[in-house]
Amino acid sequence: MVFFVIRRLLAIGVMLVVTSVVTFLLFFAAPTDPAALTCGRECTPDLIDANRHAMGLDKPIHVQYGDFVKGLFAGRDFPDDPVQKAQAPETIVHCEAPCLGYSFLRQAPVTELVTQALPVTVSLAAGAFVLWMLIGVLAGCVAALYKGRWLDRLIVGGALLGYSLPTFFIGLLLLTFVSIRWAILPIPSYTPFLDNPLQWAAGLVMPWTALAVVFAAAYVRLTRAYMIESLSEDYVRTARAKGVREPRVIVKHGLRVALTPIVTMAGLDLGGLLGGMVVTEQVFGFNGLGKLAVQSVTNVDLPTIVAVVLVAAAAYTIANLVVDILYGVIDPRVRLK
Amino acid sequence: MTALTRQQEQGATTPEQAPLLDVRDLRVHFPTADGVVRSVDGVSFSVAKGETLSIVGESGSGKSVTAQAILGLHRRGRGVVSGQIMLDGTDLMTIDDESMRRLRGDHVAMVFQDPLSAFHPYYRIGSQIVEAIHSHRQISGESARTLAVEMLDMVGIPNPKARFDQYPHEFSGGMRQRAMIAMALVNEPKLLIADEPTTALDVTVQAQILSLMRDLQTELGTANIVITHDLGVVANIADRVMIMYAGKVAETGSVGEIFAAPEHPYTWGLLGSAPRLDLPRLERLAAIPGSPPSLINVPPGCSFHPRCAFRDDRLGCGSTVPELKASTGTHPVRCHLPGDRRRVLFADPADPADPADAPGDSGDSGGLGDPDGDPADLGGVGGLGDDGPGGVGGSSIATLSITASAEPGAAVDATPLLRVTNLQKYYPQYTRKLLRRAAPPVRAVDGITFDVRAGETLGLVGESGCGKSTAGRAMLRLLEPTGGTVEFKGEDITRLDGQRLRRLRRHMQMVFQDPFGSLNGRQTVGAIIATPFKIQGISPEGGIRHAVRELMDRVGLNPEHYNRFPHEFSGGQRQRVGVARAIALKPDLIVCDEPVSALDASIQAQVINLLKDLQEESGVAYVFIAHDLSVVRHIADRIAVMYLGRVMEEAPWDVLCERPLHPYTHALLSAVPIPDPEHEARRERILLSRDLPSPQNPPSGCVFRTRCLEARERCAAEVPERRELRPGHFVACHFPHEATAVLTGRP
Repeated sequence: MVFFVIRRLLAIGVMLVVTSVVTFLLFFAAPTDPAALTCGRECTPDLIDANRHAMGLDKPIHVQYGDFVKGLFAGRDFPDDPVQKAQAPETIVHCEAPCLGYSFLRQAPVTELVTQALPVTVSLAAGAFVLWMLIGVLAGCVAALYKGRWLDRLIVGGALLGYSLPTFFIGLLLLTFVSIRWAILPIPSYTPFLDNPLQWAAGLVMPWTALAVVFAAAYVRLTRAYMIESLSEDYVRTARAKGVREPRVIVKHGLRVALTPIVTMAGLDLGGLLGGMVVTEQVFGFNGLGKLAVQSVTNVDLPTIVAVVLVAAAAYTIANLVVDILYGVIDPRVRLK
Repeated sequence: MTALTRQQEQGATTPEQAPLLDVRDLRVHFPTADGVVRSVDGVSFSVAKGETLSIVGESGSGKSVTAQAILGLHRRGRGVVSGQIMLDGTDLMTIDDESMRRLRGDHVAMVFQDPLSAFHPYYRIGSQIVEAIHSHRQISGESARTLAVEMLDMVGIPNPKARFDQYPHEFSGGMRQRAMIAMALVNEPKLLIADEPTTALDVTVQAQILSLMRDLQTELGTANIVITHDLGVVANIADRVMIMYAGKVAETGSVGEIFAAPEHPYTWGLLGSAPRLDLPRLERLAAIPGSPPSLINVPPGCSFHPRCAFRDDRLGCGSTVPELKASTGTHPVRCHLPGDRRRVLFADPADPADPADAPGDSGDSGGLGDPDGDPADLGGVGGLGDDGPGGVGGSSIATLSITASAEPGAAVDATPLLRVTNLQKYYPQYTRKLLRRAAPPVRAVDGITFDVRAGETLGLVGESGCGKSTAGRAMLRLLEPTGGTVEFKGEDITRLDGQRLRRLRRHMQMVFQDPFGSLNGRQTVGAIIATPFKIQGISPEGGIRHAVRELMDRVGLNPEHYNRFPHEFSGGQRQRVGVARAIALKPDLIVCDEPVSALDASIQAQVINLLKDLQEESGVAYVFIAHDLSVVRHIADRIAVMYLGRVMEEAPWDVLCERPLHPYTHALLSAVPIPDPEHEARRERILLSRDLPSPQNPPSGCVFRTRCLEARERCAAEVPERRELRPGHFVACHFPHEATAVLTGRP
């Protein structure tokens, strides 16, 4: 198990290096010159050159990648010019150790942008995740137990409806009615959890709901299918034959097995969401990674794009690792192999 | 009152006291979109304290559904259960779900067929047994654990304390079934229901489990219901027998009565369709034609009449459902024919009552062209009939004469059709550390040598995991051998390139075990059988379509069904499709890998007869791979016994079965149950201890030595050579010897 985790961690490292190299190459394949975008309308070629130097874009590509990696681990300066640093230290911007680059458009280190956006995204994703897993797995189990009867049909029908409603539509619907017409909840906004947990939750309930509807619908169907399968297994029949009480049969013998594939899906879905929820964040006006990504793309803020892509890739691969470890926890057969 | 009538019904076998379990007119019907499936349709029986009732029938006869109905496992399900089930004075049909749950696992317990899927894969064996205890008794975890460990010890699991904490996948098949029995008996139930408890196990393990079940029954006094399709198991374990067919009881009586004087034509057919180790080899098996009926459209009248060789419509076989009654015989039977007439027919079946009737309207059950629906085929039954009453009746001692070997002085002359020399198939393994390293390989096949001559059948037997299937595939290069040579007609095929190998495939074909998985469900059977022609680019005379129809006719399928899909056929018919595909190009050699083990006994006999006929006609040679020695003995000219990747002994079939020299062959032969209760009672078995060693780490010297009763020091030090001890009799053993008495139970 330990070797397994170590091997997987190494693989994740390789994955991230490859991702960063590829995004870096894309960066250069882009038709726009980032330096030209930095100095507004009254730009002179000299100014552009100076900015290019400040951004480090005048160096060969492999050196730039090296600078990027160095920035990640040791921090770096913009411009990275010892002469200028000695003469006019106040013109140098220092970027602290996990430096993902410097956004010249926003005049801020990218790391700072990401760390501001990340809690918003994590709050959104985590809350929605808990909500949809609870609803999805519970309703899926009920549907499986009442297979073929009206309750099952109701749940499956509801799931189909939920699945067909786009997030932005539900989001707008909630905004219009819950916040504006009926004024039950405030207009969603992000308050850091540590400032006021209640306000944090109140501001997030609607986006959570909007996001959870689609996912819950998918998980209802998934859980229902796997529960029906696992409840028809021989070992469930054995459990009943030895007189185990029905609730225990369903949860301990049926659900635990059905959870194995559900955990896989859930981990990957959560990992995907942690990379940013473009639509949800946009609809509710949350400044998360998704919105950051959209804005950087429209403004060709290349350092930010690279950073967001890397964060998303890291979230996804780590989620994958967690899923694999959980697999071993759930299923002893995997653990021993 | 009821007790009186019951006693009348069952003859004198029921003890005086009220039975432990009494089932009256049990019906389990499943409504489906196509109609009502009448899985169990009016079944009545009882089980006395401490006795063993065996319910026998083919798949779909309703035997498992009956058992599950007793446990109330159909509650909340789709099945509609009616009738009366009384367990020790409690009416199981009327009690509520919670009372039923309390009875399950406490008063009635069940053991299932496949112990791998019946145990929950995520929980330790011990905790699953403890769960069974805690579902019924409020005792501390500590004492539950002690109880479970004691029980594991009682069922013969070595080192039970350590085994308690292991998972099911860490147990071997036999150990798992022992643990399953331990779990079922831990609450000391009054009634134990075992549903095909040994079907998924090897014969040597089956012998262990059956002997364990008998011992436990004597010790605990539990009443048993053993559900099985294997008449050998019945003869071994049962006190009374109930034969089921299409959801109804065909016949019921004491084990002696059923085997000595079967009353129902179906029982008689079942007894005749299984090849037996203890009787002279027959030319043909007495297959029951056709296949069991659909339980939605059960044939009118006697549900067995479309397959019955003795049906007589004047008696109402095709129109009135016969009663289950003891007319003239010793025990109740559901048949219109008068008992004395049946006895005459069973003794001389070559003369059916009314031959003109039989083929006429037999179309109503097996619409898909019942292959042997022709009464002429039943002529072959005569072979059994000749010694039927005597042999089946249990006085078989006299009939066991050694039949002369078919081919005197094994052909020394020409090159054999297939020569396998030191064939190996290793699977490389790797450690699961951070840096992977090569581990010892799994030696699936570890140097086997034998010849197959043109037109003969070599039987390859052994228990699961002995490498027989791998060997079969490696000798056709469907798997790439890792060592040794395979010469086909003098040419070493292990070195052939792709193109030449493909051309050679014309001459060597394969029939697979699984009649479902080995046919592409999206192709019509016509297309499936035509595949070899297309692959080899051969256009047979009259076109492919014509050739395929001829092949279908040849294997007993209706050529009109050319455009049907595999799922429209029964298992036996699908296996015929597989055979047709294999013989399409008139090969010289067919490797049959367990071709009948997935089929019911009556169907098994049909396919075996077909294979024999085809061989007689075309002179094809077979390598017949099977785990069932009785089947192999029936069809093979020579038999090779494999163990852990090696051939232990190879000899002509009669020599191998009558005068084997290898201790493993002795154990294997002695473990095969024989459908004759007297014989079974008399027999002494060589029970192999321990489990099969891992093929990744086989024992040094002789691989069998760890389980061999004769093992001495030399066996660990030296690998025994393959020696020809008699003409054509090869043995790989340091201490070969004869042990005839043990094998057959003869004094």
